[in-house]
Amino acid sequence: MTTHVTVLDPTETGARSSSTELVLPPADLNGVRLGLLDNGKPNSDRFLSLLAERFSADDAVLSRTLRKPSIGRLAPVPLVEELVEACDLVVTGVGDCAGCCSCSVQDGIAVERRGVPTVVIVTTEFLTTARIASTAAGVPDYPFTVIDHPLGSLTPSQLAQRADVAMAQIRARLAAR
Amino acid sequence: MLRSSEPMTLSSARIELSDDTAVAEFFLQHGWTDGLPIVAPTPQLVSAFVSAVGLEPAEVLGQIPEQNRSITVEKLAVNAVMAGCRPEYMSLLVATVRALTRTPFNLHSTTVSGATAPLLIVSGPVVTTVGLNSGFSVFGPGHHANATIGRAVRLLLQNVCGGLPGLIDKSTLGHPGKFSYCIAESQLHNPWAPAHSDRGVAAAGSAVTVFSGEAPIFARNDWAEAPEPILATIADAMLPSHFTGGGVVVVLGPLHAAAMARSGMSKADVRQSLFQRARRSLSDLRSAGRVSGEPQADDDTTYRTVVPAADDILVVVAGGHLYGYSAVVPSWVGGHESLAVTEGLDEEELARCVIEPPTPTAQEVS
Repeated sequence: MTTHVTVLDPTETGARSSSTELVLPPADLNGVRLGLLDNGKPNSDRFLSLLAERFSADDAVLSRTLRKPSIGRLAPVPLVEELVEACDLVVTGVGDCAGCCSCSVQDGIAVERRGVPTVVIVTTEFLTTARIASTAAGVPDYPFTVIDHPLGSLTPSQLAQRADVAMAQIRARLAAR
Repeated sequence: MLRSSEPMTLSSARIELSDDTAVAEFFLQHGWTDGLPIVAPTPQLVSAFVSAVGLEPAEVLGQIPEQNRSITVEKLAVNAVMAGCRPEYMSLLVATVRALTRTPFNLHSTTVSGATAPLLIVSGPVVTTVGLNSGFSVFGPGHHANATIGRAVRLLLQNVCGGLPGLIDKSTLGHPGKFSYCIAESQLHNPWAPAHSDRGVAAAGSAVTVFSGEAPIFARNDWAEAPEPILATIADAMLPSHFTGGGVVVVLGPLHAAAMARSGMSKADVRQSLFQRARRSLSDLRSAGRVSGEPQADDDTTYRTVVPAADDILVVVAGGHLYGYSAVVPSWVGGHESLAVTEGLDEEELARCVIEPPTPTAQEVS
């Protein structure tokens, strides 16, 4: 029997040693050019479109609605650059599965790194996944917008309800900036 | 007995514990294992495993951009030690990590989402030199190389690739292959060229193919001499696939492969025949909601095949030669978003993958 053992940690967290600073979001949505980055999950497009209606009610202008070519991979750089060029605020989501959630978080932070503030939408069940992903990207305290899980099987009226919840969180975040 | 190798700079955090029991408990509590006991990854053992591939410990074998993570030789070695591997398996594991981290495989999403595990299919002379089982109970226990190489991949997925069950990997059901999922192609019973020769590696070479696979579905046909009823049986077992593109693995048992070869079928003929049989009508698919839209008049006579093309059926020959079984391994639900990747071993890697003297396999012993 060994009385003393030295062993090595088998894990790799991917956590960045340097943190990424978030861009301050606009205090007022009036005239803000809005971009949507749909990850392609069922109902994400409908949810984001309902959310955009609520942004419009606050006088934001929908500038781009883009859909990722692949749910479970990072957004291609040209897509990110188009959003950064054309928008003052970008919404990504909806992260309602482990594969897509990490990617939507990383996409949002890629937009932030290029100087445009973001809103990343995830569902309650994947907030832990989102937090691990944002920590790996150097933003451990990213202010996620969280809606109830699930999303894919919701009716239009349930989706509208989720969009109201999300918009209330976004308005509170902007007011508190 | 491994000698303490030359000083090597290892960057993993060191943990001091009182004894082996404390190590087992510490690793279990931290979610660093598959639930089974592990071999303690001491710096001495990890150094020996790194030395076995002749690479620097910090060398990056592959990356997972979606997680901002890299897989280094050192982390692979730590997890291979824990899994109970022999150092001679390391070069095969290095090739496996290269394959897993190629973009078409989509390691991130297949690891954290859905009930698949990377199925490793090893083919060529390395199967014999490293002591892999390609015969009886090929998906089952009893063989050190299959058990521990597959397990090393599992531990690597948990500890380095985000696949922590329940925390990030929220697969509904998982499957038994998520403990270990490593088979080898039979050189003895394969009537055709090896699997890797269909996938860009020279027939005489050795390779590992990775495929994001659900649990195997068995296709038993012990009564037919002619290939047609056997092919129909296997095609039935292909139908639970997701119809989302991508590929499917068909492991032909030796008796089934022999029946096909006897009748003069090439491997391409087998693929083509399965492709023509493994299909469902649109009305079938629509009844399960797999296709959207309004029913059409010709739904009963319009068919979709489980994969887009015959070449998407990956045919491997393996298993015991006493009963008429084959197996189908359906792909990840994302279908076309994860493709099989084959990685050849170079001459040096092959030379490092030699166990001497050869370990007798259970079937040789019995």
